[in-house]
Parts: sequence; C-alpha cells; structure tokens
Amino acid sequence: MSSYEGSIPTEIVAAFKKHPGYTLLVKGTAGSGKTIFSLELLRQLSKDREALYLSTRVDVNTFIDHIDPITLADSNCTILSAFDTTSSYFSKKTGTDAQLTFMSQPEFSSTLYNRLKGTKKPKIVIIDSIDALRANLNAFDLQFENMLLEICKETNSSMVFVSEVARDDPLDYLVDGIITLEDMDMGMGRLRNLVINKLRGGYIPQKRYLFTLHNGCFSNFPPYIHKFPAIMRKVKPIGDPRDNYVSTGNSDYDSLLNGGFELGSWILIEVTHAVGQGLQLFYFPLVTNHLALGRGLKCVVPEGLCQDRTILENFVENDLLECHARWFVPEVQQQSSNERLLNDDGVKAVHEIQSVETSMSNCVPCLIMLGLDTLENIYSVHLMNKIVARSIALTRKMKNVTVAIYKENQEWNLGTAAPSAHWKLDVIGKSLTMQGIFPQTGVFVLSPDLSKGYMNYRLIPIV
Amino acid sequence: MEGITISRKILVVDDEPDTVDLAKLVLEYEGYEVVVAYDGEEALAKTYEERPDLILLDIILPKLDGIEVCRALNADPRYKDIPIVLFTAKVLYTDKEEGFKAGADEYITKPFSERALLELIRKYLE
Repeated sequence: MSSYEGSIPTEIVAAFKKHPGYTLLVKGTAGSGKTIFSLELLRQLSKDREALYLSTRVDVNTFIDHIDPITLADSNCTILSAFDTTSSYFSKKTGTDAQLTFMSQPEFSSTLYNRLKGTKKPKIVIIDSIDALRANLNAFDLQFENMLLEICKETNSSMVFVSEVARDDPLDYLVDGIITLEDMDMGMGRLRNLVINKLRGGYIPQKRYLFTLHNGCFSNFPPYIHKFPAIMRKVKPIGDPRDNYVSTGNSDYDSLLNGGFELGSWILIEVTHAVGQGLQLFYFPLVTNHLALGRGLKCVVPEGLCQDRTILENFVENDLLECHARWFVPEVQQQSSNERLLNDDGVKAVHEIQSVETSMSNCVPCLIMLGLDTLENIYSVHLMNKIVARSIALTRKMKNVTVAIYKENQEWNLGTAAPSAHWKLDVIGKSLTMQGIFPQTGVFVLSPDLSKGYMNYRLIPIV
Repeated sequence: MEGITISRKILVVDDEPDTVDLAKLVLEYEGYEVVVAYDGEEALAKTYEERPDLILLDIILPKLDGIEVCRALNADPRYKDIPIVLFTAKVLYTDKEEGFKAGADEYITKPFSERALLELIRKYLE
C-alpha cells in the first residue's frame, strides 16, 4: 500500500477505540464504497480485537474474489456469509472453517450471541447489510435491532451496520454514530464524500471528507495544509519522459499527460480563490525540476506569490537561479541581475518574455510562467485577449512551454484564449484537487509528498 | 588513527514521522549515525541509552515537551554537555528565550534549509 492508501477519518477509529461496544451505521447507495469502508475499518481495528464480517449479500467466495487480498489479509478476520438464510449456511475463515447457522430471528440472535461470548477479547462485528438481514429474517420491528445492540453490550462487541437505505432508519436513534457515503456524478467527474452525521462521544473536526476507492482501498484525504518540508533540500530532477515533451516535475502528472507538456504548448491553469498558497504545491515541482535540468525559466509571478523567488533558493542551486531564471516585474524591487522590467507595452512585453536571450541560448526549451492576474493588473483587462493570443502564437513558434496561471476572480474571463490544455485547481472538502477541463478528466487529489525535502505531490484519482 | 573515522551520533526528536525520516535521510547521507525518538519521554530514554553527541529536538512533543527535556538533561551533570538544537515551528521570541534558559544551545525555525542545518551541526561536532 502507498502511504495515502488505506485510511479513514481518525475520529471514527478513535471513537471505536475509546468506547467499547461502539455502534456505527454506514449508509450509502449501491457502489458507494460501504463494504470497502467496512473492511478498512476492520483492518484498522482488528489488530487488538476479534473481527467478524457477516455478509448477507453474496457468498463467501464471491465476496473474497471482489475485495483486495491485502486488505483481507491485514484485517485478520473471519468472513461469514448468510446470503440465503433459509436453505444454506456458508462460512469461511481464511484457512479455517467457521459456521454460523440460523433459520429464524431468535436462532440468529442466539447463534451470534454464542459466537461472540466465547472470548473476553474485544470484538467487532460488521453486518453487511442490515437491510438484507432484516429481509431474510423477516425482522422489521425495532425488537431485532434492540436485540443486536443488547448482544453488543453483553459480549463487549462493537458493531457496524451497513445499510443501502439513505433515508431515516430506526437504527438512527439507537446507534452511536452514523456516516453516509456519497457517490456523486458531477457531469465532469465523480466525487465521493464521506459525511459524518453523528459521532456520539467523539469530536467531529470535519463533517465531510473526500475519499477514493483507488486500488481497491478506502482512502480519505485529510485537509490540505500548506507547508514546506521541515528540511528543504535541492531537487533531484526527473528527466523528460519522451522526445519533444517537457517533464512537469511530477511523475504522476507526466504519466497522466502521456509524457509531460509537449513543446510549443500553452497550458492554462485555472485557480480558484480557495487554493491560495496551495498553488505552490503544483508549480514548485514544475519550476524547480525544469531549472535543475539546466533549462531556462521566465516568470511573471502571479499576484501574492512574490516571495517564491527567495524560497526557490532552497530547492535549486544558486547559480542555476542566477543564470537560467528571469523574473519580469513591473518595477525593479531588487538589484538582481536576473530581474527584467516589464515593457510598458503589454504586447511588446510578451515578445520580450518569449524570446530567447543570447545568454540563455543553451537553456532551451524555456518554461514561461505567466501570472495572468499580474498582467491584467498592469495592462488592463482590455489588452488581455491580445496578450494571450500573442503569447500562444509565440510559444508555438519558439517551441517553448508556457504555463499561464488564471485566477477565477480575474475580471478577464478567458475571452478568446485557445490554450493547448486547461486544468483547474480547486479545493473540495478541504482537499486540494485538480481536474482537466480540456482535455476532460476526472477529479484528482494533490496529496503532498514532502518526504524527499522538496515540494512534490501524488495525483490520486477519485474512483 | 589514519583511515578510521568515528561516526558521530545524533538523536532526532520529533512527533512527526515525516520530519524524523527526512532528518535521518539528510544526516545519514552526511555520515552521521542517527537515533530517533517521537516524544519527550522516549527522547530522555534514548539519551540515557545511546548517549548521542548532539540532540535535534522539537519543542512541541507528546508526553514531555522539548523545553522540559532540555531542563531534565541540563540538570543532570552526565548529560548537560550534550549540545541541544531546538528545531521547531514555534517562532515567538519568548519561546526562543525559554529554550535557551532551559539549556538549549541553538534554536532553528522550521522550515530551514539542509545547508543551514548541517552548518549548525558541524559547528558542534567538527
């Protein structure tokens, strides 16, 4: 498993650990990830307790075939199946047989009770699903639910009820916690949310979490907190994945783009207001990798990120920054040899940015970073169509790569711009996300990876 | 003796495993031997057990905070000579002052560069 794989909100796990006999109702429509969530919960809790998974929907072999073998092996639990309570009894523990037999509601309760009372070790039972169990046992009164909760108390067991019914359930008032798993089709991509409706005896720091079932694991994403690595180191660059393409500085993004940014392409990165400094997580890997490969960078810094130039010194050798980077600014702020004053004429300014200086002739291809908000503030909204059109044309002609940062609250609203690609950075459920608008893609979460001492991220699809 | 180098031992104490791993990566690459601890009590135990040549110590720690660890070591004549570098995200002047009063030798604020850290360590170990 990767570091992000296999996680559920810590407050849910903490509630189970703190309160013996804790009960949780997991709601969600078919395919929303209830079973994988339950298995992940089992995996995290079964180290110090006996675990029992009761599947009432499919037989054991089908169940095992459909789940991640690593998750199953880690969970160290007994899988029982009772998908047809009237004729057969199925049971299976990996390696050992175990049986749960029942024909009626009292028989079920008594068999379950006897199964659980055997050991004093804390236990956790998952009933997947309570709806199917009710139907099979013809148990549609609260007496059955009360009986199950009584068994929990008597046997020191925690219990998780999986329900396919999103509406109010009699269990709502009886259980300690309720979570709902949402699977939403947003037209341009899928979003999966875990909503904590109730968590008795536990603190809820965040009500809604984005999650994915990528690689067959349930993984929620903690809130994005912008920070730099505690110890900042020089970047170890990754090369271009293919000819005529420039690496994005991130292996996941390179793979997604089938080789990085193509030479001559003009990439629009739309950034919502909520992203804030999170933008650095996206473009620091790009810029530092490009410079560390000995290539040129020309940059009109987006508004509010002017301090980035000094931070870059921690990730890239000074001589590379001095010789290969050019900062275009409306007024000279520092006596620096790599600072250039922006031309008063916006179109001429773009020409100067895109052209290759003699001193940088061996630093091609150049990466051009354009803060479109900065350009709009300097040259006004009326000139933006012209500036962008010229920049696109020159990028293609010079075979550079331009990454233009567009802020959603700019007055200029993309006008006639025809970028090679358009990506959107956003914050959803406190997670930093990226999505292809053109070409269209699903939603990816940018999960920070600071383990090497420089800014990088994993791109994790919401599936 | 020519040809033989004795590795200097550094204790890294931080409750964030990522930071500990990163410090270990940086310091081991430079040839230092690294031992780690994730809370204040473990930091004291590792100090008694391993007797490091230098301690890199976060301030905000579970069980016993970095300042208390400093005080405990400074009060013990067997360990008071071990240099302590506080490395922390706390940036208030009063924190720094409190750290020095408790017996810390240096104070460095996160994030910092690899070079700044190594220069600081070399000052005490070479």
